[in-house]
Amino acid sequence: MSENQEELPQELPETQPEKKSKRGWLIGGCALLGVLVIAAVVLFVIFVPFGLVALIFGGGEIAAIVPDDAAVYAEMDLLAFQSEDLQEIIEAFQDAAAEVEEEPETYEDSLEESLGVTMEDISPWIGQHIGLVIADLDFDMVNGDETIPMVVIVQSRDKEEADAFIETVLDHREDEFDEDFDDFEFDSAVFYEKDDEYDPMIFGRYKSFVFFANDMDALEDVLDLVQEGRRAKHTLADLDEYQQTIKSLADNALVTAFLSSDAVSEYSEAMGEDLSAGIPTFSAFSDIEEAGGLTISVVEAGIQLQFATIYIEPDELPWIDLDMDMSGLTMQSAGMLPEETVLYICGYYPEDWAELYFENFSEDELEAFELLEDEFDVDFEDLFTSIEGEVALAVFEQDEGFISEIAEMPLGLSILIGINDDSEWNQLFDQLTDLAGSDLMMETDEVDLDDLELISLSLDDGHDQYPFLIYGTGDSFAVLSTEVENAEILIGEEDTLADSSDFQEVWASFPEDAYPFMYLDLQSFIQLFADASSGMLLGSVDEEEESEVNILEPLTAVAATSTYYDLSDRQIITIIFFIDR
Amino acid sequence: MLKIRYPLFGLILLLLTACAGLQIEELPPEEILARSAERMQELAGFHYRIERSGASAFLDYNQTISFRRAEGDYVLPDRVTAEVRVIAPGIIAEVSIISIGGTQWETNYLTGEWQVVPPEYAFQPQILLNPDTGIQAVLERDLTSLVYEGIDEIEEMPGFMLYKLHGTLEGDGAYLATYGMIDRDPLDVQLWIAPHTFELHRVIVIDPADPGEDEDTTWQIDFWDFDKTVVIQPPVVESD
Repeated sequence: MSENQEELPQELPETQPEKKSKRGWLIGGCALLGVLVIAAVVLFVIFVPFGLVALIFGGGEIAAIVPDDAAVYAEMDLLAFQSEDLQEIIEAFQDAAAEVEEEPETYEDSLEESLGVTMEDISPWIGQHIGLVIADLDFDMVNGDETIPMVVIVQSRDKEEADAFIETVLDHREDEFDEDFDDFEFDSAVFYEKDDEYDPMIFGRYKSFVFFANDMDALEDVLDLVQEGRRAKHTLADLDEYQQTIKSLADNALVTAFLSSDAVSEYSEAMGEDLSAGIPTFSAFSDIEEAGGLTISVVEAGIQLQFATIYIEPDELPWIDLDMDMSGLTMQSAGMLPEETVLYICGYYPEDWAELYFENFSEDELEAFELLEDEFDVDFEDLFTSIEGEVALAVFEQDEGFISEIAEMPLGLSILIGINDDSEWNQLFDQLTDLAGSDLMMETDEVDLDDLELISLSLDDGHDQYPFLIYGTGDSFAVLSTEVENAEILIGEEDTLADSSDFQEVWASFPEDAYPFMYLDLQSFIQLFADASSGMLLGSVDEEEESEVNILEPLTAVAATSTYYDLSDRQIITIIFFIDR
Repeated sequence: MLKIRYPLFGLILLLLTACAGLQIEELPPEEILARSAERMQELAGFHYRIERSGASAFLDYNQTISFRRAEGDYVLPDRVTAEVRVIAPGIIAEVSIISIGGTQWETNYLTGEWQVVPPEYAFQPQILLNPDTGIQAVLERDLTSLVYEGIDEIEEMPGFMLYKLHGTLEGDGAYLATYGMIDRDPLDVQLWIAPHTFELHRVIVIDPADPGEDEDTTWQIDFWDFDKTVVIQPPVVESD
């Protein structure tokens, strides 16, 4: 500051020394701030890998050179892969897999085999982002009948090193695979092309990007945008549905992917016509125009997947008029299920949902439905119309019950269906009771639990009775469960899933406005099936010690939430894989 | 003035000639029908579509599989393709059929794989469509109270004028030709036949509702691409 003051002319009026002082402080302050900023930048660049690239390119830069009619775009952020949280997760799985006898082929092995390069060849030049563009995607391509046109775009931060990498790849492909490449120029950049009908390959570097492609047209579309630079128009980054999709998803993701509405429509239509060769899917809502997105990111609890669906015409959504007030939802069903539940799936059906579906059924679908009603002598329309509120399904460990008897697996199952009218369900259950009553080996008993009027079914072999199924209605639920012995769980008199601390804790990791719909106690689930199958489920076996190793051991639970019931222009599903590290 | 009149006269003559060509001769309905049957028997092939609407019409004795529609190509004398949609309880299924001579192949509706199907268990479109023995022959033989309703057009062919006939179909012919999907009751029938060529473009058969049913069953059979022959070959069966 004194330096600045000394620079000021002496002939200034007396009042000026005061201004000079303030001005000096201002200039000096800016200079100090500038020094600090520069220092921070230098430190960032030095100590954070790809720091310089991050400064220059920021995030999502590749989308600005992707054509806006791309069917799919996926991007990997290598900077995000540097996170400590991810490293801890990887180490946790590595420790768990340490005893696996066979080491799977690593991606580095594959890279070296196919391209003749290792990480040492890549690290010197690779930038922060890698993008994958699928220019077009139709059902024939997915079926493998046609080649999917793709372009891989890799940011480069050192052109010379990148060129050396390309030369290495070229030499390797020519020497090891005996392939012939022709070279061509694009705006003075040299590319190499193997013109093969079944295995085409094109690669090269242009400006700050290295490209790999299997389709010339797709590559040229991208190169044109790179050439246009900031003047480029009709890029994915400018596309509204892309922006809306990305904005809906988590930041700082390891991987971000986008599926255009055109691709979704085409694929949905093809799937609807050819889902399993000859069974068209029910067409209600199949013409809704939507784009999709996905992110994979690391969160405190583990790995998070988010799926976004963006509706292009939200005002035309068929369910726009449904009353979807979720404010009162409390996962009531969790308070009716055993604490040992390993899988819990819960949905919510608003009033009039069934009417909406039936209104959107095609003539053929309605006829199929009517035939179903005739076949079982059940008015399914009334039955479905009476469903309102929570619908839950739970799988839990149970040594004695319907599934354990029939399938010889220690599993129990409960289905809880929220209803607004029990008459159709009572009629259905009465039919079941009559059917059971006509079987000499079946016994039925009435079970009253507070508001629940239940019937328990037992197998009677003449010596003993083996209760295996309980069903009925009450308390706004229709109930079907194999948990006969501890039926009091249904009225919360035993420890329930809602009481489980693990169950309660998982939801704290999710956004507040999302509604839980799936919980899986993975380790218990695996153990349950492992015990049932009496064998190894995952991992390798140390045959000498007859021990089993579970390489998924760090993965403790999977849970999911959805904003499905928020009637806006988008829906977000969040899945978290809880990892113990 | 003579020179001026010639072009005008020529124009009038041209218009008159054109109009004469467009005129549709009114014929007795029996003659229209007979000439149509004759024409259909002369064809080398055609494309067709059979569609059922209204009350269900079942392919099986247990009345669980309802026929919805079939579309394909017929190449005389005995090659047929069909894409068939059926409706079962809670499910809509589509299968492909190829029939050559006495052998019929169908795709499995779950896997899509072709398999040989014993004819007695299969829907056989060639029986229904054969001009000598199928629905067209039945119409010629069993159609009564035939009335000529004038010139009409169908929605899918705007501006293309057709003879429209109306009659009643009695007897077992339709029942036998359709595996019992069409009843033996007297059936209301409408036909649209092209003038000049006498190609049968559309047949609509209305099967009245059975006791206890609310609605009739309506059958619409369309024909086009007359004399067009496609190559119909046996499919590749996975087990081969």
